Amino acid sequence: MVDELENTEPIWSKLPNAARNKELLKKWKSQVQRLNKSKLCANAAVLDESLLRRCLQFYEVHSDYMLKVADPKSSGVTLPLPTDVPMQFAALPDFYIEDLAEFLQFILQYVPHVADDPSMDRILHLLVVLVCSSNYIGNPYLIAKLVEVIFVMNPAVQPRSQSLNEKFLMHPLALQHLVPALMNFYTDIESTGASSEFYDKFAIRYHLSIILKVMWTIPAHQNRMIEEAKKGKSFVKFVNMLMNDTTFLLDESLDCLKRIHEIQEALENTEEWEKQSREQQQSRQRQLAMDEKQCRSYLTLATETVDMFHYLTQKIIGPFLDSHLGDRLAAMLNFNLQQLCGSKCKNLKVKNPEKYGWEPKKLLDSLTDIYLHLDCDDFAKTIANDERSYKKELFDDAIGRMRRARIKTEQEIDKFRKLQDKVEELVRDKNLAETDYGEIPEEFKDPLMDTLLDDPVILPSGTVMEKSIIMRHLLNSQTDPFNRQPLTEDELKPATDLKKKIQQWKIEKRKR
Amino acid sequence: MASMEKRLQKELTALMKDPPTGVKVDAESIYKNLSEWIVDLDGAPGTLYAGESLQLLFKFGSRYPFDSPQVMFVGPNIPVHPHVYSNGHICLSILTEDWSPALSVQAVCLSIVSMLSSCTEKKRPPDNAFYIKTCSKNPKKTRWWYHDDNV
Repeated sequence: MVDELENTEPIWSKLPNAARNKELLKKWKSQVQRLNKSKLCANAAVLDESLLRRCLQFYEVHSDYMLKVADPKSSGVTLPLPTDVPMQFAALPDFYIEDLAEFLQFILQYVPHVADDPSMDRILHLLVVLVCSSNYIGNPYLIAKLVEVIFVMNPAVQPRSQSLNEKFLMHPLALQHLVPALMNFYTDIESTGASSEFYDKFAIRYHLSIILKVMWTIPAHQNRMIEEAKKGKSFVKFVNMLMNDTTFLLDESLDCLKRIHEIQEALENTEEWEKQSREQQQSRQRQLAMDEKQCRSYLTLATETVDMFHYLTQKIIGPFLDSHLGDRLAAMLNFNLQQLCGSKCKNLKVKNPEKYGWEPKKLLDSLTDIYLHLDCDDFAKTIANDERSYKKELFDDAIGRMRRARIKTEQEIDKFRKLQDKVEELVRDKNLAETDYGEIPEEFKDPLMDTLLDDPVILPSGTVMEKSIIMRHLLNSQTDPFNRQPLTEDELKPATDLKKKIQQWKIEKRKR
Repeated sequence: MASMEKRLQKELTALMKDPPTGVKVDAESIYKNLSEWIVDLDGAPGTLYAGESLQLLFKFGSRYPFDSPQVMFVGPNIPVHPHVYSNGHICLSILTEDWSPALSVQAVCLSIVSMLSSCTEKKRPPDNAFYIKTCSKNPKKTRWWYHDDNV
């Protein structure tokens, strides 16, 4: 505030309230000084190392106790913990964990060398056990706190705790269980029950993605992730969340950029700008400031999620092309590619993009990399299915841009070109197939999307739906869309008779 | 995304062919862009809104119908109602957390007509002044706190 007022001094010094402003400035300055003094005093007391070491020792014993309560038999030497949560553990108050987490965050942030202490071993053990036993902790925000501790320990955040972070990640239990635990947590945090869950999850997932990124560089953890991907279901859920977030975050950031671009343009055009009323000017300035702030945070998160796609697809392909994910993934990639390369991309140009962390070239590079990573026949099919953004020209544009920005080698561009050819061929085939049938009987159509059924299933309520469509809905919400009753994948029964009937009908139509 | 268009096309055809009383789709607006609809509503006779003509704007995102559409009142007449803010935003749970892909434009319109019809006193929501100053342009970004279910 002091800075702001001082910086604007030339504006207000001639106005009637100059005296008042000067008075305020003086008052605030002394206030800042006073606060600084008390902060220094507090530092001297709170950052006392021997005090902190003693605290650490206390928490070591505390961790020991927690482990014993959680697992009376073996003190959490093996995971998973017994399925029945011991009553005594369930009865412990939240702050037993919360305090520990906050203390760890504090020392990692301010005096990381204190944490280089043998008493940390036990504490880290507890950390692994708790993070991997989410069934023991009812409050998701508590786990989020522990995740935050791991995040603060990450060398990308606190370079001086590198050895500690290694010790944690190389813990035998962590090697075995941390990857699935964190991935599940990433999925579960979608709904926490709190009213702010929609925004909370982004912060928590940001922490998780930074942690997972470092884990990806460790072969043992990387293998674990690949293993997890092969197992299927929970990984598909994880990717679904990742995709939802990426879609939302990129959408939002690009929208913000467009608005910033607009206002910046308007500011350039001084004549027009002066014509607006004072109030209008101020409100647009405010909008700009808000967009700038939002843009920065959304872009940081979006970059992280795109990055995660980028490295995961280097080694893992199958789950991304899963029948109910593949089409959406292709649609998302195409849509964003269109934003970056299409005719409207000029609207994304802003002054000093580095201020918002906006690196279009890098984003294009990552996006096109993902295409190349996933390149295969199935992937080409999913691109061909996307009729919203995919056009031949889109890929032409992208190739042109990749050349100009020199972010890809000729070989890579060639590969991209081949992918385009493959997609074009599929699009032609599809157009032929679709027009064949003409009028489709109502009972052969999916009730939600009005498409011809291909793999029909029966819901417990008796409704018949296309499998991929109900599966997509179940990823969002485990309910029957028609009556809101709980519904899971296992309850879907294939409608074999109907399927045969439709196939028969198709063959007959084709004959004509 | 052809599938989303198919679904919207089906809804549109059904609404044009057999519209519920007091609901009329502005086909003109839709021919240009299938993902934004203007729907004209007439206040139901015998209610506080009898004789009023109202306009709803529907915007469909790429995830429709798995994700709810953006719905708000637009035009010169924003109805005065305890769940309708003066900028046109509507506080109605089926538009956010209670949305189901089995709902449709028609179902949403009927819900809104019925919400209006059961109103006993024309007034704005208690936090109207604060809300319209602070909210986003997109009503779906508001974390609604559903005041009550009686009106």
